[in-house]
Amino acid sequence: MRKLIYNEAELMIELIKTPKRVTLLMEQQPGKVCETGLAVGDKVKRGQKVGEAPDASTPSIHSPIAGEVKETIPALTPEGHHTTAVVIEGGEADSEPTRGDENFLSSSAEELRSRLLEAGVGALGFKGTACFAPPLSVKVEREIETLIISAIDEEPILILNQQIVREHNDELRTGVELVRRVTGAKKVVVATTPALKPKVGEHAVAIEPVYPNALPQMLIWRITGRPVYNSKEANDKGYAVLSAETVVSMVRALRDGIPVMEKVVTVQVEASGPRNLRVPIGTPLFGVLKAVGCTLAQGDRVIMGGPMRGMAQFDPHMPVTKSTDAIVHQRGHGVTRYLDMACIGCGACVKVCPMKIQVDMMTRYCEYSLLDNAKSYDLDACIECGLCAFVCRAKRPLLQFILFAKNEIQRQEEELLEA
Amino acid sequence: MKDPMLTVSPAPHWHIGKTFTKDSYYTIMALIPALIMGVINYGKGSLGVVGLSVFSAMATEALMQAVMRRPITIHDGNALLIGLLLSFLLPAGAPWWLVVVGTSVAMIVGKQLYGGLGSNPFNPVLVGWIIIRISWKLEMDVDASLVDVASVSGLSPLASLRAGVFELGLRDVMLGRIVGSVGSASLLILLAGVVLGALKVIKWEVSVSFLVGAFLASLLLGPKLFTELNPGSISPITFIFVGHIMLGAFFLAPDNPSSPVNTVGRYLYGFLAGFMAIVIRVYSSYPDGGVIFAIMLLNLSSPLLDRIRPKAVGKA
Repeated sequence: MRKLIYNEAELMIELIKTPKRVTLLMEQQPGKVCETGLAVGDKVKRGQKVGEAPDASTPSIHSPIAGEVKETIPALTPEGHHTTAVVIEGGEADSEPTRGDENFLSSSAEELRSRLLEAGVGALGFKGTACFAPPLSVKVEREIETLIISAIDEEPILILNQQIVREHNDELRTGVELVRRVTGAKKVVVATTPALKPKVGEHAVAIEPVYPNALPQMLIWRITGRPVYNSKEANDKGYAVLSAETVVSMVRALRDGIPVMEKVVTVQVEASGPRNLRVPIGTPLFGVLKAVGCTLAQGDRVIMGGPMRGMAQFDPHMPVTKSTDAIVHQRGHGVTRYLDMACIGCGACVKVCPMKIQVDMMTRYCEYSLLDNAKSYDLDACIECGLCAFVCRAKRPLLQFILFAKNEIQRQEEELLEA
Repeated sequence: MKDPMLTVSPAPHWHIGKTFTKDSYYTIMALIPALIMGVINYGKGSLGVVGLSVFSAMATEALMQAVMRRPITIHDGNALLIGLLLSFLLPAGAPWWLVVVGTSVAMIVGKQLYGGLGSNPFNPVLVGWIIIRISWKLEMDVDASLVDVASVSGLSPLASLRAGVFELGLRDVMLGRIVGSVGSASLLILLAGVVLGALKVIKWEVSVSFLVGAFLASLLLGPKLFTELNPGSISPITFIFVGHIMLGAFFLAPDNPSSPVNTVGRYLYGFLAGFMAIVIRVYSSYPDGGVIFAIMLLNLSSPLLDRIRPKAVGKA
């Protein structure tokens, strides 16, 4: 099979024009919901807190532009959750004074954690990293044995974390120390591509740059040599994964006093190579695409996240969140279409599955909601890499069947708890 | 300005580009040299058998799907392939009605009644062949039906082996210059199969283990054909180039829905099918049906073989 190789090119991170209007979702990362204390008409400064965290495991949200609150409306997140959005429209350039601290490493871990929470630092990046990340703002109950900082991007065309390592090398080196302090991890390693290894230094471990090696569960397996069954087992065994971007943003928040207001995003537009952009959080999709010279046409597909695991969006106004790693644009005539076809039993999915699941039977059970049978065929072991659907000769939407079954199981468990 | 409508679909948003339909057409293309050889050996009559078989397979599928109010899928190449493979198993002089009955049974009983492509537990080609072979012994007999059409005549190699008059060279056997069915050019089928296996279009594990099984069985059981009354010998190589062993190894046994999915299962399935083919050829009253009955039996046990599966990574 043709392997999916990670992009290892060097690609400068470009700034884009600050948008006049941003939409700040109160759920920036799946499951981490903030509340806003602002009302329509309130003036907002750049860097001012907009979303207040209800607990110590949720990072707060800050406005990337100065202006006025236009409206607070119900909205959907890129993952499809219902939440509130605060819309801010630009006015005079007015920003909060920053309070940097050069000697932040001498502060206590307790103090560092509360400052990180205040600056809105959480695990940055699309769904994968979030569930394996330690909550940076609270003391971790279970001691962390190995903390992996991932300087490889999860999916093939993405190159943001690698580029951040190139451009913010000092911050990353400081960050390794910082992360060790904040999380109390016994061992911190940086997972990199072979090409980037010398740049990172002593903590680096090179990973073969083949998809899906950079997915959190695979990283843990490749680095510790022991596979974990799911994120819960990873927590129990004391493994955690953070993206390099998260670590750099921690250092910037503490040293320079800049809260998280921007996200680096790899933008791939059809018929041109990828570009790295530093995008203010809350910029709508079409704004980002316009910055790289792409106008949307009828029937196009816009994906938030990578091509293998990202979510296709229906709304061109969907704002960039702290979880957005990539925006991929495909012209309508070239989009992959799935078919409603029975499995033909060719076995390509079984051969490609990194977790050695018998995918053909498992997804048949998922398709017809036979959840117990699906579990007995190792549904829980699935890391949702999507390689099975990628190679499927019958073009069955296998990843969708798996996600559907996992969602059903979760829903049923929640109903049981309520009853 | 009105926003454009965007396409929404589940991840992943890339596809490798290999599809079942493409695989079917590659397989058909690979069989064309063997088909040409068949026409050279057995005359224009064989072309008629092949054409009718392909046409009637596709027509039956379209008719069945129309009756069942399902989408018509004759463009996916599967019906074409089934028709082609079935005609390879028929004698060049087969009467038209035999071909039509064979292909319709293959398409209706073998494929559509089970729910169409992917749901068939047996290879439809085998179902069609077995029904007509058992029902019309005389018309399916290559020795008798070739008398009028072919330049070659006499007994088929398998029949002559039993009668003790086998005198063909390996070269004739490989190129199909024998009394046999349309797809007798074993060497060309072997080459086509090797190409398809290298391209991973077919389940190459099945093909390799099938040949190994057949070779071992030939080595062990080949001499059993000869008695004091019927002295002689045949090398195992010639023995597996005779009949449908090559067609079975590369085109009938690795049929996707009816063969196992897991690697261990594939090797076992292929090996047992190949071994069984020779056992049936040597001992049964259907020497020409060895490959077909063997693969049919193994089709039946393929769900069982698929229970041998690797443990998922990380599972306790």
